Amino acid sequence: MTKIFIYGIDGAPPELIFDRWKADLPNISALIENGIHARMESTIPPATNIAWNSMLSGQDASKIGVFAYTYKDNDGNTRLVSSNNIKTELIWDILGDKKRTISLFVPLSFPVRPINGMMVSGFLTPDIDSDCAYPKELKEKIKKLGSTDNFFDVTQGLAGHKSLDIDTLLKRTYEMSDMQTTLMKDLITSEDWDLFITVLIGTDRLQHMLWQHFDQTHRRFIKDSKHKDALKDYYIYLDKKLGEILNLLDDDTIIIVASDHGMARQEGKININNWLMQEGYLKLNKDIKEKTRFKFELIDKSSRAWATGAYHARIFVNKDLEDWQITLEEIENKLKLIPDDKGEQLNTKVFRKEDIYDDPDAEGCPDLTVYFDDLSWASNPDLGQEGLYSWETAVGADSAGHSRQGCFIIAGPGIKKGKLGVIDIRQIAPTLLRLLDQEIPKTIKHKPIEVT
Amino acid sequence: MTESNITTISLPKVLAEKIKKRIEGTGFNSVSSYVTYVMRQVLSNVESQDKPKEAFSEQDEKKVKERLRSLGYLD
Repeated sequence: MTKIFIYGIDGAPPELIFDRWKADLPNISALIENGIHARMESTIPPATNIAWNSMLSGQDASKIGVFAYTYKDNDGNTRLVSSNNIKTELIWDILGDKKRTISLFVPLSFPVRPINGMMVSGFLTPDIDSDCAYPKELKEKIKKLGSTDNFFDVTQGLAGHKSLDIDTLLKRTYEMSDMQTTLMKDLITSEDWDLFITVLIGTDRLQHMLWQHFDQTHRRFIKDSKHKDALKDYYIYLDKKLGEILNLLDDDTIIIVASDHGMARQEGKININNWLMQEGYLKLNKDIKEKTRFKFELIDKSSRAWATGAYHARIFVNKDLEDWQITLEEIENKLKLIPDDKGEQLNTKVFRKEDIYDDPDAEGCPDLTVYFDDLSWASNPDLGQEGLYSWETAVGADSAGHSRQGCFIIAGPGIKKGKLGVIDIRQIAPTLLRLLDQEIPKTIKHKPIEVT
Repeated sequence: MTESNITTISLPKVLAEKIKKRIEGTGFNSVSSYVTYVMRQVLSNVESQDKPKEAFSEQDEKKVKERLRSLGYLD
């Protein structure tokens, strides 16, 4: 019987895995050589909490019902999203009692729900005392691994990831990954399963902070940094852990290595709400002088549009406008003309909701989604910023941001060899179902990848 | 929006005429686009009554929000 093991590496960019560091990653290289690999187009937006759930459902953000890390509750308060916000069936729901799934650290799986198998939630988990494990007895195994403060994410209990010195960040990232991979190895051998899904978040945490230490093309490149090899070393560590895991798997197991999005150096940030104010679309009901995070409560009722979203921008046009359509088109056209800080033209992409989503009427769906310079520039919705450009948000600087394409590698019994063109993240769930010999629900529109 | 995603519905002629007058100079180029816009507004108001169960205690939510802010993921 076919089994599938997924080694998820959050934000691993194809440029690093398939090219730049391939020779240093013997286990990943062997899977590439012996199987199929492809660049994988992520969700719009390429956000961690949305993209992994898209991979595991075959659906886009509008069907999942999540566009950001927050949503508005009935009283208009901004609340954090959780697994309760997910509107679509995920792979373990579709497999039901036919196949047994173990899911470890999938983003947005907190709070966990009973499934046919086991589940430990991902980086949005508050702590070990919360609903983070199914069955609950798994918590006892986790407690034996080390400090649970550091188990779900490196930032837990810290003042702020971005204010953390890099040595501490690295130490915590390795501690977290050691504990997580130890749990993986334990459950691989001690439990029965058909599908085993894991997501390791350390790469994302390090990449946001370390990009300018190794990428010579970064505009804030740090020459001869003592951390210049730190990210590469972490990938080598992940590859070694993968090797240990491969040794534990049966011969009838298909291996997938995948990432939910890529990563690319960040040039800077465009102060999107400043721009909307400058163009006369946004008015605040208060005079803001200091750097302040954008809040809906600060929007004056006469405003025509406003924006949220770090990295990509989400634009909402006031629904009460008589000339809603004209305003939308105007903003769409003007956004594409915003230049960089040196006056150079940017390759900015603006998406209308009806062109990208299966359910453009879903609650919280932005009217426009904007990738400044195809995500090389980020959006900064903060208020009280000077001018149009900034180099850090109210919480700190960024070295890199998410890019559109992640990696997909599959190898094992019956899998062909070769390189494919770009695939879509929504093709993974139907591919898994076909490999496990299960029917693909009609609600999944994307076709499985031809891997056998 | 592609053609295959569109369906036809019926409106009383008098209402359609009224809408036609209403949308003059507003940027809506057809009765259909205006009706779609209005229906989306109505439905989103209805659907917003149906919110998910809150997963976090106040304290937990504060803790995770802080973490997300420090990662730059929360706007």
